[in-house]
Amino acid sequence: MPKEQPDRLELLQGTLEMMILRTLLFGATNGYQIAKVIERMSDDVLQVDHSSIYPALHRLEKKGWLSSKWKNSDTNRRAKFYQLTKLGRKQLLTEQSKWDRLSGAIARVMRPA
Amino acid sequence: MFGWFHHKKTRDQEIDEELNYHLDLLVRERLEAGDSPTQAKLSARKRLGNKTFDESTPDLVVRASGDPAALAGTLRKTVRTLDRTTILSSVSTVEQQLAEQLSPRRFETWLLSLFSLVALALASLGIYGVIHYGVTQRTNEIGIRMALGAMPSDIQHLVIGEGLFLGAIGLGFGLAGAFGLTRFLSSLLYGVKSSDPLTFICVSVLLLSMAVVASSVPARRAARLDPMSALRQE
Repeated sequence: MPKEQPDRLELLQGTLEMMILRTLLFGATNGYQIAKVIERMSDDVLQVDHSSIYPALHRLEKKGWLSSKWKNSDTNRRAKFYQLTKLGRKQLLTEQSKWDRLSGAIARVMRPA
Repeated sequence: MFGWFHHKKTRDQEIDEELNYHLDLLVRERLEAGDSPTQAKLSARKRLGNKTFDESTPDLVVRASGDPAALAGTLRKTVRTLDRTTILSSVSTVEQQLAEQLSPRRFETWLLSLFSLVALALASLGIYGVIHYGVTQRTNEIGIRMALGAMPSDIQHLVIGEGLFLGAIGLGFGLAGAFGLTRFLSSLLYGVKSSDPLTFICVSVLLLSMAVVASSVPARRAARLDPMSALRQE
């Protein structure tokens, strides 16, 4: 477990849902794992407010991009597992290309060659 | 509207359950990293953005002899010595819990009883009014009946019979309506079916006796009529 770092970055608006979809590409999992994966993949730079993950998951599920199932965890507690739907995969592709164009454009403005 | 509310409620409950599970995992993670229980709880809460949500807290049930309310202080102290981070909140007796859970039911029942009492009073008043009006209208006829030898008890039976007849018609409509509508009440009922025969019989008897009581007042007036003056009235 890494120490709390002072140089963590707050998430950009709207990027959390995109990253949730991306992490679910690895397979069905629960909110705790999603938060861990996002933090680990960003080398612990991204500061995820863990409590914001669940409303986001419910929003994505309502849009039909995720499906969910309650399963008993190892400690015999109920945990909700989320999985990408076909629609969710398509949405991920759209958002991925949108993000590539956006981040590329911002980079060109900030650091003109 | 109601469906939306219901949906919102279950959604929030689900998120609360998920957050509780998440909090537990975070606490365990910090404990394994070597934090003290207090520290682990604090940092786990911070990772959840210090958001407040409905945390599932364990309940403690204590069987006591004597005054249970006097035990609260002792219980608080005992729990604190066991775990400094745990506080005992909202101590109540089983009776208080029960009363709290039953109070909306009690209020609904009280309200429904009040409504039905008002309805019964209005129905009796209605029967009384109609029979009374009928008796004044038929004063002449009653005079003739008495002149021809009808006893006061015959007149009384005649008038009460009329009230009973009206009551029976109303009862018929009422029972038909009740059979059709009580199933909407079934969520309020406990331990009794919405088509409970005993209830229907008792209510029918009650309504018919109210009809008799309501019509007996004008019936006695009719029986006390003086045939001569009744005949003269036109």
